[in-house]
Amino acid sequence: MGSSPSIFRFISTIFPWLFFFSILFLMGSLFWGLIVAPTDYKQGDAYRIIFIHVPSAILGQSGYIFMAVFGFICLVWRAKVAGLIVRSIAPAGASFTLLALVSGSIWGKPTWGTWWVWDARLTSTLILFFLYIAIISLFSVIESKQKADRAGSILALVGVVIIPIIKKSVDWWQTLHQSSTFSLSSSPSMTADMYLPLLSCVLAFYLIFLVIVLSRMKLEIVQRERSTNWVKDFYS
Amino acid sequence: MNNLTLYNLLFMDGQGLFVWSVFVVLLFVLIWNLYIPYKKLKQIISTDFSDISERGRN
Repeated sequence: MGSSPSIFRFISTIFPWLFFFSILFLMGSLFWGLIVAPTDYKQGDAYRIIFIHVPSAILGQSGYIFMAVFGFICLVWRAKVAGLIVRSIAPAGASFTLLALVSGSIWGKPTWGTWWVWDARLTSTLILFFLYIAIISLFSVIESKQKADRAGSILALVGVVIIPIIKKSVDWWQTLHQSSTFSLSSSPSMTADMYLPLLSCVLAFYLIFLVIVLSRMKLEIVQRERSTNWVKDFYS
Repeated sequence: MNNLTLYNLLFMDGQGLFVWSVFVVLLFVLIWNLYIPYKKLKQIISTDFSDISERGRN
């Protein structure tokens, strides 16, 4: 795994380009989904929330998987950069999980007639959000960065068990929530003019997630290495 | 774009409020996540490195 100065310089080089490209891609994808895509014959226009809800839910879960992978690297190989990545992913993952919960709740009102039910999918996603909050709290409570990184990594690894539970919750229990929109084993249940903008939104959300994580990594590196000569040289 | 098209786009047969409120929440999440690291980094640069950059310029 690369050193902090080279990672910092790499992020600083690609960041402006990635930022503008991801913003443009996201705007285009949302325009496609929220305005151009056809209206659903059953749900009407309320279904358009899917173009924000599904990508944010996917990001909330995959963000946690990334955290667990880098947490494992941090614990086994004691790689400082891996701990830094875990720390940078946590707030972004928590935000997207919260967005999935809020957007799902707003979507629930016109379709289910209620803002919230203690349904397996909703409850397991709420637990995922609490796991993110617990990891962020660990990072802010423990003063030593290395110890905090290790503690956060352990919790990320232990908590990753929630991901298959969220994924399978709609199959294991009877729920109000519909089955998975994306599946590797079966063809999409939506028509292409709805599925393609959704796919585009998912890709755009991944890009914007990367931008957020990179900006947090940059901040974290500067915070940790502010007294080193290479940081001083960079900003002089 | 005439007024009727704009009205349909915003109102969406009474469901526009739900759709656009989710969009507003998304905007808030994005701005918050992108602005906070930027603000903190600016703060560090202005407090820790301002004298260094001044010296560099002189």
